[in-house]
Amino acid sequence: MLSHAALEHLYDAYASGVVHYFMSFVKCEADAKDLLQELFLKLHARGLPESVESEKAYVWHLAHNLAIDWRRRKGAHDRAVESSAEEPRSLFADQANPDAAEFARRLEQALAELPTEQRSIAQLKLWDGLTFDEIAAVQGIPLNTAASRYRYAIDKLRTLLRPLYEEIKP
Amino acid sequence: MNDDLETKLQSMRRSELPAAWKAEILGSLNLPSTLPKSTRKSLSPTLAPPRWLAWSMAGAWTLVLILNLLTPATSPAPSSSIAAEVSTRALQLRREMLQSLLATNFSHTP
Repeated sequence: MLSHAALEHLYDAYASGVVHYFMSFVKCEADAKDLLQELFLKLHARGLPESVESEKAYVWHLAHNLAIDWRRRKGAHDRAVESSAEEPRSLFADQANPDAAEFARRLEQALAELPTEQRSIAQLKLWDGLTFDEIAAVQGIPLNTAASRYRYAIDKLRTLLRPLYEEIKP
Repeated sequence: MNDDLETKLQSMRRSELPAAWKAEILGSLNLPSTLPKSTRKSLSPTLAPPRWLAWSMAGAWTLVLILNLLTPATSPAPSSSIAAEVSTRALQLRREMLQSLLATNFSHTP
């Protein structure tokens, strides 16, 4: 079992990113919070196995498996009902600058249009600092698949955001 | 453009989690049971049988057991002795019938 201090360290290091990652699967803040709690229950019970080379990869792998299990448990119908019933959690911090606020809003819309596989990889790469090797290990997919899904995601984001981005680019 | 966009995206600061979540989630790990939240919810106290009911049921069963041991057994007659009694009576009836038949036959003989 992990000590309270170790769990606190893991929370500070990963909770925020993991919740955003969960949100790309579940769309609903309450479900993301439940999954975060489940993740920490697992970490508390199992600890970090000695065979684990990278704490980061282990935590993200557990998180990914929880998200996949959640998707299996919930039917497509349930997901549709939930996503329409509750306003999704805001992904980005409030922006003082109106241009930046508009860009954040449009980026959130653009991310919502991506397929889950692409959106989740874009999040891990852009905001959680994982390498393609780490993403491939976390999601259990080939390295090339991880890289190509990221590329598709960026291309789509570029298409969707180009007009606004060109406009506000300094 | 592509690199610029990626840099721009990476510079976007994501929203923070509500501060209360940390205490709530880490605090829940100190519970004696580390069952998932969904399982803990299902163990509602209203569904658990009250302790007094368990004790009173145990007492009642103990009383039944003691009474059962103290009561003398009134065992019915064994079935084999009943069968023997019936067959004896049947034999006796048959003998009486035979004797009466023989007596009748001898009395009619010229």
